[in-house]
Amino acid sequence: MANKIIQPDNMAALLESLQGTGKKIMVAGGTDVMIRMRANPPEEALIIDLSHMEALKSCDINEEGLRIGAMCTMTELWESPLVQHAAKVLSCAASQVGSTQIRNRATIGGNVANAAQCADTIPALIALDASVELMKANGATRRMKVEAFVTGIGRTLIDETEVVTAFLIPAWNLGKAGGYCKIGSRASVTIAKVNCAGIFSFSGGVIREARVAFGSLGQRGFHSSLVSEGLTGMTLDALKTEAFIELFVQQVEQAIPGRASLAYKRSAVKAVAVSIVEQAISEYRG
Amino acid sequence: METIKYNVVGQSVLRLDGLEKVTGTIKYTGDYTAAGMLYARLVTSDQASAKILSIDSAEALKVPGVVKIYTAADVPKVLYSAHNWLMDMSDLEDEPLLTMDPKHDGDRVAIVVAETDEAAITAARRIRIDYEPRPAVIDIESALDESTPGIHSYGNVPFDTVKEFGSFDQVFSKAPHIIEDTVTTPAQHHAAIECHVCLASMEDGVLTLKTPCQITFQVQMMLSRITGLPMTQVRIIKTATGGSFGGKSQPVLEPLCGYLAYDLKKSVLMTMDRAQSIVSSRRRNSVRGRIRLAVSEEGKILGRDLDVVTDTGAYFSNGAAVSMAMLKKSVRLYKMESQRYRARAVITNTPVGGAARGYGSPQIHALTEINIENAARVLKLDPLDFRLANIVSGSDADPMGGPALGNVQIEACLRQGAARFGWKEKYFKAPGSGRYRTGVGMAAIVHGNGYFGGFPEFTAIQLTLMPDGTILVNSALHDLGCGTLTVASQIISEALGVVLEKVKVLEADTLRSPYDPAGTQACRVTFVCGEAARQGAEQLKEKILKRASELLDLPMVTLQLKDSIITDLSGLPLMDLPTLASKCHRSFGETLCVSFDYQASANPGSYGANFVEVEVDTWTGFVQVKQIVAAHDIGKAINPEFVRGQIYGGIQMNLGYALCEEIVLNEDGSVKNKSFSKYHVINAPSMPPVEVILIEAGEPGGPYGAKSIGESSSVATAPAVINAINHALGTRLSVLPATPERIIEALSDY
Amino acid sequence: MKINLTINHENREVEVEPLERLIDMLRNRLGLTSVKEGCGEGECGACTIIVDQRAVTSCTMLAVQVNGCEVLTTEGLQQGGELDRLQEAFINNGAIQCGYCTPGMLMSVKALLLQRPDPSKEEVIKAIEGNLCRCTGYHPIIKAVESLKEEAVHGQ
Repeated sequence: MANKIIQPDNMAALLESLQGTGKKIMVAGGTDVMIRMRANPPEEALIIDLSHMEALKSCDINEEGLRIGAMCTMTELWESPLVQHAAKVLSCAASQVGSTQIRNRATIGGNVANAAQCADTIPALIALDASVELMKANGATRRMKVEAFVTGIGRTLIDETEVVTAFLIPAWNLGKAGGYCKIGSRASVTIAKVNCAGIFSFSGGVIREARVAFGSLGQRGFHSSLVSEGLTGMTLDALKTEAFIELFVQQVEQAIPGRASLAYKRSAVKAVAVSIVEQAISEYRG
Repeated sequence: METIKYNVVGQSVLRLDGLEKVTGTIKYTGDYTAAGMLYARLVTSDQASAKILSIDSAEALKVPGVVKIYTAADVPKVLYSAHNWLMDMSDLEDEPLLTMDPKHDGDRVAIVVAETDEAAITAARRIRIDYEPRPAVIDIESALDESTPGIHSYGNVPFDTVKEFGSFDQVFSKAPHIIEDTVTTPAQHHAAIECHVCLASMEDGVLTLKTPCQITFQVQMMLSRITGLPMTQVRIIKTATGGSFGGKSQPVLEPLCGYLAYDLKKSVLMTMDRAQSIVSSRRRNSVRGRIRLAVSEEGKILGRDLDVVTDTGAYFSNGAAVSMAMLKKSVRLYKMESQRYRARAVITNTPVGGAARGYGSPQIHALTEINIENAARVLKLDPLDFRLANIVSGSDADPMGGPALGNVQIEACLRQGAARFGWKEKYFKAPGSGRYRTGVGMAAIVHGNGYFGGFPEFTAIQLTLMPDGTILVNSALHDLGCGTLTVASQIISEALGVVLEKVKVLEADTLRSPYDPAGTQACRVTFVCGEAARQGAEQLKEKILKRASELLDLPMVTLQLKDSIITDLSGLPLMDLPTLASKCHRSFGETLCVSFDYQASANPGSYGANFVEVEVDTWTGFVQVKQIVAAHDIGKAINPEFVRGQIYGGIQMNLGYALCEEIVLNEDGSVKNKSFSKYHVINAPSMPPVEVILIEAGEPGGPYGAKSIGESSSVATAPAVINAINHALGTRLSVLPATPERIIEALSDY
Repeated sequence: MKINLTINHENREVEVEPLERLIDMLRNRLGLTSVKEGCGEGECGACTIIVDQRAVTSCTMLAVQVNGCEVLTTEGLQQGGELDRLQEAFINNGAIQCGYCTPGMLMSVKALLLQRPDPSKEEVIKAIEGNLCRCTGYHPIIKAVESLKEEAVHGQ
């Protein structure tokens, strides 16, 4: 048997394609999987091209929160007034993925399923406490937190018979001030050496709640209670003193003790800290 | 010079191949197809040092469409040097076509030939190689260590020489100040966007190659040797080049691809992917150099001690040549009483060094110009004044007996560049003490114009007046994208008095181009080949006017050729060129043509200076280059827009050298960054504003006073950037590239 | 698999292999050799084309993915034998040297102009952030795009 390809353009066709037992490869935008398949081509796989799945391209808000179709591209996340308004941190993260050409193809579903430690959207989704929605061949869905879903570099909890259909950002985290920052080896079109996203609730000049997540520190993105809790209760005046930066530095030291890259990352993360807090404050002040 | 009014010289005429390139219709080598054409892909070693125990091709041969798999046993057992371009050059010959003893990650082990490129790629992936790994020598230190086993039978230090002028010991013993630095420069990938590619075929017994190379006659010589065919049966045709930067200046795929076509009697297209272009072609020789500068109390440079070790990679390649090129460039910028230059070239289990834009200039000037700036700082002198007090002038001789320096304009470069940049104000401004620090740096450089003084420097050109009045020009030029053919056309149009559109300059084709083995490299094309074109065109004009005078029965001195028309001195048209050509055929049985041999007799310096302002983020180690002023002594810009284009591009390449470009090795010698996602070149958002100053003072011996810019433009930025970073941070960083990690590390040391 | 697409304003039906990359289909099946490969991983931008008004790297796409799409390559920029103004601007501003990155550059800028006919300089730079050029240092390319603006001003 050789490779086969199908191009479902509706949910029924997609679910049908999930039913077989053989090796399946999902292609969303293609920007990551194409490189892997070029280096290491499958021989007997079913390639499922998701690019024509209009049903997975919509974004909408309901009482639960913001639902983002898995096939939304980075460009769409950046340009969408809805996402910009409701989940700016995700929109910002999407705008920093690869180059213009890559953002025009790369999808949020692909970015998360690919599970690179440096993925831009993962820390943003974790900061937003987002869940991923997976659908089985029988149409049943299950959800889990993105933070739990991604288990390591290139590893997730998805089953062979499942497809990522959407991401759900809970209503209570929408519209919050936030920021995303990454440090790569050049200013643009770069892979993150450290990246971080945070959302904040302010009132009366005080951070009432913070959720800060990191990427590129170890195998997978994670929510940092150390930083989130440390920032909670800080006043805008305290944030001026830059004492908060030390929290970020501590988090890096905890995450990658003894690594060769620690010396650099513990310094660079200071810039991340300042950038995220500045973005959030400027949003808070409107 | 500037008072002379030229017709097309000095004009930014549009490049002649612009239309083809902007419509995508131009054919690069990989765009050719032919009936029955085969496709070849290399299988390269992923071990830096190993012995191959066995190669299992069984699975690969099962891939439908595979025609043949070659390993070392299937190809001639020649050892060659990709550096030698003349029959009697004798640099070490140590490169096999394919090997069972891979000496670097990317060394060539096998070739798959198949009916489709996909089949070749698939089969190449299925070849199983059983390696017995050996310890890899991956750094200069281990290579120099006498106890390290030799990678080749000749050992790891095949080149070691000392060149000296003046009374070295005396100068250094009396010097009040000696400023010492050790500077390291990286292995740089040429990063032409077109990966290496070659198309070979057997056409009526003639082995014919289409290749985007810089040295067709060298390729011809090598393939004649490999196949045993006489040179007349080996035809190398230069195709459109998708960038080279020296990377296609040494034969890489040509010997292999040519042999495949010869062996299979079929057309074979051989392509490298990006990873192979990075590790299996050539790279810029990396260098570690110790510089000791002896300076008087008054700030006069007394002497210099240079100890330079060049890592030439797994094969000797141009290890000696680039070492000597660095010497040449080190003695033509500052006056001093004495210099000792020790050069060693070492072999390591790393990708092979070779020609790269600047050919030693980026390396040696990184060493010396970082040291010069540090010396000025140590002595509390303004680096500009320090340089101005010590630079050479045109009346100085090359202290090593090299060719005259020519019309040296380094002072003008420094003064005009500094003025435009605002050097004095910026240098004495405090860098700040917060997160962001600003600093400025500068560098002065000199580069050559061809091979005169080092190697045979000759060329030839043929010009023919065709019956329709067009001029057919045949010479062994290779346009690498710089606009060489357009520039040659401008020179010929100017010298001859023929409109530009009527001049057709052909590119190198060894079957019919006049023999010129030196290729288009070493910044010889405008200065040497351009002058040959000018003089050849003058001779043709002489012939044309002589025949016109006979046919018109008018004295020759009363005639001129202008805009393709023969006129009297008042401009009255007398005869057009088609008429003249026809009359010559009828009256004299003659075609008006010239075959002109030219030997260069000068090799002046092309001088330049860069001024750079940076802002360094002391947290992230990011360097933002805010401004670059580049002043260049180019004699005369034949095409000012092309010259600026060379300078912008040269800066892009040398800025990457300063900040991010480096082939990085793992501990086992394998290469970490074999892709553009991991090997970063400067992209558009990272390209700083550049201001160009052209000093056009005319260079005797060059066409219309022109001299080279292609290489001299790619040298001064890196040391200027490093100097600016050190100025901003108060550091003495001396390892290129200054990556964010290295900057943070340097800061922690201070 | 059989796909239908509009390629350079013409409808075509093409039979493609499951793993066939878009760049290979364009070059090998349709002869559109303006589409260049420089890295095979979407990093250099030499293979940039326009799919449904957006710039994409054709080396990171499957051929089947353009089924039903409108695809533009540099070959399709000329209309009625006339060069696109952008092509002229590239020629006139020294934006071309070796020319290997040129088709991809043109496509990235063209896609920007389709979205934003009057882009700022920063937008131009962003549009070509994924197109590497080793020859020109980018300045002449940016100048070429900027010249369209000047042309528009002078034209009025």
